[in-house]
Amino acid sequence: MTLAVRNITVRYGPKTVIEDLNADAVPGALTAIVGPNGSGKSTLIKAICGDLPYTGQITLNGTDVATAQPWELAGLRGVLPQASTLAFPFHAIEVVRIGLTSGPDAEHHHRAEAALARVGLAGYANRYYQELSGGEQQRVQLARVLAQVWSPGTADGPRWLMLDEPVSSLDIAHQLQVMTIARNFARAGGGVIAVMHDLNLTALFADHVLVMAEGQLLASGHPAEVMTDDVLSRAYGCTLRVNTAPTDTIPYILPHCAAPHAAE
Amino acid sequence: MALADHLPQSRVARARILHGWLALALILVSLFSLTVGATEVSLGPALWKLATGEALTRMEAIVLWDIRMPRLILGLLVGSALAVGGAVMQGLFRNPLADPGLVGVSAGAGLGAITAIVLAGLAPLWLSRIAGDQLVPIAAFFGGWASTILLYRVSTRRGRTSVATMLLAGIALGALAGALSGILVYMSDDRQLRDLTFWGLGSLGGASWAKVVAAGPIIALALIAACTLGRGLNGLALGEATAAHIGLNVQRVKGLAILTVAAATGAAVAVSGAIGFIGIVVPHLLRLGTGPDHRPLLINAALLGALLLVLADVIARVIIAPAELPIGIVTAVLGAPVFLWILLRQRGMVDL
Repeated sequence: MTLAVRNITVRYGPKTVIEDLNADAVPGALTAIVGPNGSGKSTLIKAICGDLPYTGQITLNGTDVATAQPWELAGLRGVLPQASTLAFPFHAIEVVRIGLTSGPDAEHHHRAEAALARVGLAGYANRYYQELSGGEQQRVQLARVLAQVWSPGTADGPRWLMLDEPVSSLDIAHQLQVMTIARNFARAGGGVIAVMHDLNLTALFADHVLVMAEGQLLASGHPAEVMTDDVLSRAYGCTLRVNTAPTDTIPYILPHCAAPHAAE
Repeated sequence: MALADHLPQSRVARARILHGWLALALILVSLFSLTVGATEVSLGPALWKLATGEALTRMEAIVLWDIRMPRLILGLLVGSALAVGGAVMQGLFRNPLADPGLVGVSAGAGLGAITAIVLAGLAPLWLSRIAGDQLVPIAAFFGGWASTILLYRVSTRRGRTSVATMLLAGIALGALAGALSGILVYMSDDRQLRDLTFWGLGSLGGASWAKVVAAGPIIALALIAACTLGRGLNGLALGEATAAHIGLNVQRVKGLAILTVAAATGAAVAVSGAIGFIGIVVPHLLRLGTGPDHRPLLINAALLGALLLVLADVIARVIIAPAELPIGIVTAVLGAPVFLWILLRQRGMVDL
């Protein structure tokens, strides 16, 4: 009952984006995929979600992603895309309900309200999606995904959240909120795979980090093991120093020290 | 909390209630349209005779059964087909501006119909024997089908549909279909030219039971197919990738939607020519009133489309009686300003 990626190769035309990659992720843990732009991390999560053709094999709870029916996969995992567009003037709650289209939890209408409440948008049910800010829209989409895979662990095995840069358009308070939701999902027995840009948030929330560079896995392990000067400098192509405070007077703000306010 | 429990359901619930009101209004408008016409026969009493089981006079029977009834039924069929075709196409293209008339699908269907009329003599005997009266609507269906598929291929890349590409490709497609149609018109003989002229008027004036029989089954199939598309089109509104992630078989939804658009548009164009704006105004009005959820929307579109077209036909018949206006003119005069008004009001509401 894990995610197993075996000998994956993905090509866009003549260009090889991912070459012969192997990786694993277990439920109960938040697995972050990090790496520079163009390293293939978004491509990897798209392959895991079954969006792209690939050679090799990806199995989720033993189900082969390439051959499974859409409704089977929808019962196993929810996917939060990097960017979403919406064609028609739906209310926020209606967008969340679309997430309940199929799968074992379809027709649980109160779940949509509960999912909105979980992302801190309880009062937004009847607001037009297009009138919300970018960050609010992203949280509505997260609520839609949560509504789809509401129970992290089921009798049939764990369920998975696939998050492609879930916090990239959010302010720091909402970044912490969304990452906490994802971590709680993992703590409750579900699996979480998140493509991350922010290394501090990754260090703070991930249980396991996959570092990618040039379409290959550079390192894999606990944040403390893989987030080192050497690995990160090689991955990102610039000199990086972990746990080093700047010596001048320019302020720096780390999410590590943030604490939620009483309100919201 | 009780309020929050009930409020979020309201738009879909309102749309469901609207089914009943629209059906009732449709029945009233249909009865009204049977009583209006160029002949001096007053059909109110005739309807009363029908209801009480009395025999009709010969004149009443001809006007009612052979002139007004097929015209009413054709109006109901074409109106619902145009509105549902528009709604499905907008859902498929994730774009409230997509309309078979605006983006060349009607022109493609028209090309199919013209081909069937002009080249019918060249068709193998077995084909004309199988197709019979339905040769023209079937050819229109294939014309609409080919243009819808072509348009979708051209304007969709990686599961996202470009509005600009769609509209521009639609213009090119419409121009191409128009040019090919022109070549066929040039090739046609005098009798065919007469058929084409009557067909191209965009009117319900030529309504007959034969046309009802020709278009009815195809439109009925399209309407039934549309009723199964609600969930799929709701999912597609979030983009193709997300639609697949929530468990939809995207290829099947798209394929069925394209067939539905082609069948509805093709059959409607084949029997009544191009009638504009029903396909774009009806779904828009319904989305404003009861929200964009396609499950109730498609049913309401069929009802409201039929209602508006029958009403437009009544206007077309009485406004310059005893002559009549082509119905396409009525729907354009009433529909175009409504469309512009909606566009201005909605500008910020949709991702264009």
